[in-house]
Amino acid sequence: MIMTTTLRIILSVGIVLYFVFVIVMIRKKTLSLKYSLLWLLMGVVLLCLIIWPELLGLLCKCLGIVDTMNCLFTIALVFALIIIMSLTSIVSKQDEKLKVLVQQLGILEKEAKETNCQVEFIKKDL
Amino acid sequence: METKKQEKKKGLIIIPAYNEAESIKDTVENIIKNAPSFDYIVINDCSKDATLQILKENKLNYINLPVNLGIGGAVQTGYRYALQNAYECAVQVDGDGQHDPVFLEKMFEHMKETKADMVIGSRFLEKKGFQSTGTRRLGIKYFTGLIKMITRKKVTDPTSGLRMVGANIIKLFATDYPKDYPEPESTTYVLRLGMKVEEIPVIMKERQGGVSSINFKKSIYYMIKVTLAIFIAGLARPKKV
Repeated sequence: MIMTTTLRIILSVGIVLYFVFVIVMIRKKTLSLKYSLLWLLMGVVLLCLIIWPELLGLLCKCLGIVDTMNCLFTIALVFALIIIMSLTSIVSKQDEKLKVLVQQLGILEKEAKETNCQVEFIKKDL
Repeated sequence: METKKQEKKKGLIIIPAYNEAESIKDTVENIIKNAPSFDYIVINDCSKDATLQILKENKLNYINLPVNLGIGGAVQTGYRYALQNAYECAVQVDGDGQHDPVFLEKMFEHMKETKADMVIGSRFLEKKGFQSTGTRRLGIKYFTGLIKMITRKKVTDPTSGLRMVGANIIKLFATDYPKDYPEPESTTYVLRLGMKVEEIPVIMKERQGGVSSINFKKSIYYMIKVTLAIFIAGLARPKKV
């Protein structure tokens, strides 16, 4: 099934709004640019496939998919999986970093007590 | 351990160091010799080599990070430290000996004269000294053009790590500083906020020891990420006072 023009327009506008949303979130520091790159790439690839249906058709042929909508779903799904996997990796690394911090703090507290040193963590803002 | 100095120092030299065991001792001694009116602090970014040992052995002034944060995080640690110790001026100097501390006084004078918020030591204003490799120069020219397009200001060496800032940028960077490849992005941000950025010509040396942390694959990621980051930083507007 070929995508109707209506659908292509709706999806294109949707993706552009999605870009604006992601960029505003990055400006506000809610999302960090480093981890948002994959999300932006996904938007770019999907937008290209929607704007140039010949590209989408070519991709369908290469993958052996008959229905173009199915192809679009597949690409989106693959991206989503890649992003989720990368998030798992990021979380794992953060877990490790947190563990090291906790351990260091524990040791620091002990050493501070032993040297009768008052440690004050200045909390400006985090 | 750090007590308030009797005479007020001009500023704080922030020396980020990751695996710089070969050059850190010489670099710091050179800095102490050539810029005695500044305090310094080495930020050991969880180095895997003997950097920490060398810092301890030579009783150098340092902060040891328990987890590796990268250049952005390490330098930002220095800015936090500067803010908490009420320094009016802070300057980044690389731990690998590429930056020559004789220029620090010049940068300080220039900052006072022009009332600039930031002074960058540029390799390319007079094109003297180590000019980096051809491909890197091309990349730097690209960023110069990009930053000019977004901020209308021509910064000839936007990736230079030799940068001096005043009190208001110390306050800004202490809480808001990019994590990786921070120089072009933060320069754009500061310019968009309406702050004054000046450049003076400096001479940099070739890396004395150790290995640079950027390779080809990383370079592509670097170009894309920093380009995007500059555009997004370009969305900043001066805060209404």
